[in-house]
Amino acid sequence: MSREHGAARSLVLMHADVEVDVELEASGARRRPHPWLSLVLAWLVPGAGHWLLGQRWRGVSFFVLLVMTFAFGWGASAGHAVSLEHHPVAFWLQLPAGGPMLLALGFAPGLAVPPPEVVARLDLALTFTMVAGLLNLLLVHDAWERAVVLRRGACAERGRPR
Amino acid sequence: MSLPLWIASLLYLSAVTSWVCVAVREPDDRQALRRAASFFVLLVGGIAGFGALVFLFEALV
Repeated sequence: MSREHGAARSLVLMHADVEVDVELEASGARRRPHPWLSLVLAWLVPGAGHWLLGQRWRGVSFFVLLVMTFAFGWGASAGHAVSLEHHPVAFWLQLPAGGPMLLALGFAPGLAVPPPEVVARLDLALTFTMVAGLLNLLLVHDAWERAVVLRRGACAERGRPR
Repeated sequence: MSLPLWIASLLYLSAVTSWVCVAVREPDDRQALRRAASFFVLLVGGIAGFGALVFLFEALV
């Protein structure tokens, strides 16, 4: 990487950091949670990472939408959409849904053959649960990134290395 | 499964996706809703267009 390119990249990153900082200050975020805490919480409870970072009503909207989407898919398939044995690819895309996924695994019907009316809805159920999982992956990443930026800001204020 | 249910699902999933994708980057609520609406139109239009192309391809080939 050339020196000019490196400098330009640093400028872009600094700009992004400032943008997120300003945004978080505007949203009333005062806490600076550890990035790992934000990441784990955002994964376990969709939207909780944003709630923790001060974006309260957005966190609630993410929670309601993602849990509803996952629950609809899970319910439409009577639990058969979540199965590592029957749908291995879908399983890994559903996994980022976190808490709802863990709950679904707890109530999984196991290796039972799904009834025909459930089979008819299985494609749709898989789509809903996978979309919920992938959207939560985006939320987890965003919560982590915001927490890292806040942390950096806090360390810089106290004159500590990042 | 019935076509109306698939269409309703497409609209619902597009709405959820567009809100989540925009809300993580846009701090202003009103602006976020506006951008989510345009992203929603883009998503539904794109998927419907792609679907129409597939149907056309099936009909012709």
